[in-house]
Amino acid sequence: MSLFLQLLINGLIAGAIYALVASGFSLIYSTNKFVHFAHGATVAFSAYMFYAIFSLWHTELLASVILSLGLGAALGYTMNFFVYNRLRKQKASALIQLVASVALLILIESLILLFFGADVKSINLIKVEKGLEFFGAIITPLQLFIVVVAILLLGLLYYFMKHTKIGKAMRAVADNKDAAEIVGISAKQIFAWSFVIGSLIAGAAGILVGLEQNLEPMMGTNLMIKGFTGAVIGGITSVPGAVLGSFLLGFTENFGIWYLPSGYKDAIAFVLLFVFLLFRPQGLLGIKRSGDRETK
Amino acid sequence: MKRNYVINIGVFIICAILCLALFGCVQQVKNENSTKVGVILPLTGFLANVGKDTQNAIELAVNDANALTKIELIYEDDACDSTKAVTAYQKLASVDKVNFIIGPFCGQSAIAILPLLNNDRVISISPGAPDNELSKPNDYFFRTRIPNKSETKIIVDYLVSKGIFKVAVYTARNTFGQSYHDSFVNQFVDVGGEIVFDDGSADYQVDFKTDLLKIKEKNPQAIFLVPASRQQMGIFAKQARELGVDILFTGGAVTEQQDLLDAAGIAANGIIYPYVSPKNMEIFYKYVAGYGKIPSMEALNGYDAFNILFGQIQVCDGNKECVRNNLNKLKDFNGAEGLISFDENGDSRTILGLKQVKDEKFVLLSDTND
Amino acid sequence: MIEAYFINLIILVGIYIILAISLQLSIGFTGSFNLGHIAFFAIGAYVSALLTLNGYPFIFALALAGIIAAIFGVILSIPTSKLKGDYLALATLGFSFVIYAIALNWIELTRGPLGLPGIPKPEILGFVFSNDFFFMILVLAIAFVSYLVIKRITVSPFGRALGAIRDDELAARTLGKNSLKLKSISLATAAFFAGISGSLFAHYITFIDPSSFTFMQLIPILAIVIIGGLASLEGTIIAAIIIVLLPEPLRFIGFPSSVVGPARQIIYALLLLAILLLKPKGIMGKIKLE
Repeated sequence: MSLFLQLLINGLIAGAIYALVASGFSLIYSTNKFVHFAHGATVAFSAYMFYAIFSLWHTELLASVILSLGLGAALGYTMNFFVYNRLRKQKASALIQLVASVALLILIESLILLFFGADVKSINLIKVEKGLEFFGAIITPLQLFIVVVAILLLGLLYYFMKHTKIGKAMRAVADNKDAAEIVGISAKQIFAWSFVIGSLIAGAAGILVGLEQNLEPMMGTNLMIKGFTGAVIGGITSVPGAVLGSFLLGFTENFGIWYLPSGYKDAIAFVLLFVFLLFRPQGLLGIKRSGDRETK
Repeated sequence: MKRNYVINIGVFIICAILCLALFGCVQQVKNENSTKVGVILPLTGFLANVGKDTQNAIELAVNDANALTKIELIYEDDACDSTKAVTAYQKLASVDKVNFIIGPFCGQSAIAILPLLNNDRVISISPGAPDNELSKPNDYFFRTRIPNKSETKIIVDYLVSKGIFKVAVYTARNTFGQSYHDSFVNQFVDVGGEIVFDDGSADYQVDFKTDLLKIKEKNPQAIFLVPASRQQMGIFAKQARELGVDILFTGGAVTEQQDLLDAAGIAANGIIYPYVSPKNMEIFYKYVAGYGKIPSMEALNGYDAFNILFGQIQVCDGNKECVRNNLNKLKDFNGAEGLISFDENGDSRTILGLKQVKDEKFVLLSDTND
Repeated sequence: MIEAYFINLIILVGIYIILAISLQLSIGFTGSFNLGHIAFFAIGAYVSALLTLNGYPFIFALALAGIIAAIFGVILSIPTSKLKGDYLALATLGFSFVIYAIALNWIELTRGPLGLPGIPKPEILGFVFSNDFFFMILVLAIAFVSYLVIKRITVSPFGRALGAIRDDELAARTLGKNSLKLKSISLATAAFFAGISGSLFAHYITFIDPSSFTFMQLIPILAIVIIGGLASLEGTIIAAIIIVLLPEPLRFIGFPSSVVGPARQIIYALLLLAILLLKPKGIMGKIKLE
């Protein structure tokens, strides 16, 4: 029983982290309709900013958090403003936007490498010691905190999307951009907002991951791949779906490598992906896009 | 119209490339009196921090030996990728016309360029690449870094001396880790040991909780741990501590690096690993003073690689065959890594001892009260 | 001997050209967002390496590298035939991860992480291509032949049918085109050439291990396909030359060594962005993929 519980907890923690990355990413994807790989760079950027502000310049904790989140959001906004807007104006295809986002990812991660160096940075906020025990399974306070914060943030996001003006406008643009514009919504503004909100969440992910797993320049890419997978499994166009998919991924990975060698961890994720794409490509909660999935 | 524009861009780029290449040619003609030495290190990628460490140490060696006017170092980044290493090598060998290289650092890079080194008769001393695969006689490749099998031997002997016969093995899923894995497993099983768990980490893995759970279930007395990087080792140790996995940790010589302490904090305490002994602490402290952190073993290997090479270049007046002959016979060179000798395979035959992490410092095992 | 450096680059360009034009066949001409291309490259490399390491002649190994890769292409095309757009991309991407995992874990076959060192240089009718210059000729010859074959395909009725599927699969089927069969053949062909380039890669570097076949390796190929312009083989070739050669002049610009590593990546990314922002349809692209 304790074994099962421990695996469940491991999956929960991993899932929470993936979900934070995936939700912001999915928000951006559903609104903008292209894959923003550089989302991972936002995660890494916020983490490093937090490290710089909190650990290096010894700013007070709460202020550091707020500043880092703000900077992350600013980065997202900037990427949209300088790169994606221009590409949109040129009517570039989603594939081009994808390649541009990869270039941005490489650019930002290399800048981080340049300024911060390649060695591991630790934000030593919490002492390393054995975690709390529940029925034979162990979880550390920080890990518990991550799960709680993730759930809270995602809940906030849900509320935001359902009940605020901007949130509803975002969903409108995601559903049907042209119709939304007819009703008076400025798609351009909504695009910008999607990057701000999505990057804020990415920032939160970055800070939490930085605390739990330390910082290194490539951290963004790796999280992005997992978050991306989670989003697709859950339904890339649906933010709740992305969250669900991420938790599912977290659980499956951990239960999966209980039985298989560790090297198969990524393969598990992608077999899942494959299976979903064959039988339920819209993911768990996505909506079937008319005309692009099947060619009957 | 568009077509012309595009073709113009293409032509311009090709011209730019050729011009810069020529520029590179001109540059090399200018500094004829200094000997060029190529350096191939991972300056980007997941080993970038160790690459940087090694670069720092090499620069320190150049300064210490007052070699600035006599040696020109040319750095190339291979990002631990075999294809990039080949291109880096070709650039150094054919454009810069180096006869000597320090590196490559990574195993897969070294394996990829080994036939090229032998063919072009370019001498290479690597501060890394411990893969057993590279232990070959009569070639142009030397290593100041001890081969895996020497390290694992001393760990196996230690475990046996402590009556530990049930061990878990967790090594990186790349050439580096696999080489350690194979040496350790072969040697340990040979003396009657039992491997109860055998698996490894992916290069970028940061979550080991379920792996640790599996290890816990198998109840080993100790674990032999060589992940893909020091930060991985640190995170592994940290998560092990958090999950209450309280067994003896042993690792390879790569354990000794600042990154491990940064990542793991007190969770690193207790790890036992092989190390060169005795060591020239003067250079060690110089590095700490100059760069603010402990040098990794490979960095010190880099320091020694430079000095060995520089010494021979001086003695032989830059003659390749002379240098190679002398390297084959190198005995008891007094380096930062203790006394270095090369055996018939170009492998370093330095004496090894055991060290342990205690109070977040790296100390000799005999200093502890275990 | 300065030519050795350029010969090395030309060989890499040649290998990338074959890889890129075969991917262009999939993405640009057939409209299949195939992100699993690296898997075929890997399969070709491993097949060729294993065969020659076990004494089989090079020509046989080369051919089989292409054929077995093509078989995997057919295998992949069947379950993915109903998918389109992003979904197809993801499924094929997943396939490449699965192949990577197999290469890493099936140690009995591939030696896993240790890889396969000592792959022999190609030998045809007694002539050994140990000199890189001749190897370069071999690669360029194969690249040229590949270009001719793929070009022929694209202008043939078969190629036109592929174009029809790309533009509007439903309409094409209405007109009686068996889209599954056509897509399978297209993917198999693309995989075949990717396998060939994999074989050449293995015999050039003489050492392969799983780390050469990850998703990250696909990114430059994808960039080549897009920058070259969709449905343009000639554009792809120009783009391949640019992308492979782009980082090289940066070696000669004298950055301080402490900045060399990341600086190169930064400039590469910036240049890539510049090209995308200034010419998003690619150098010679004929169509846009929505």
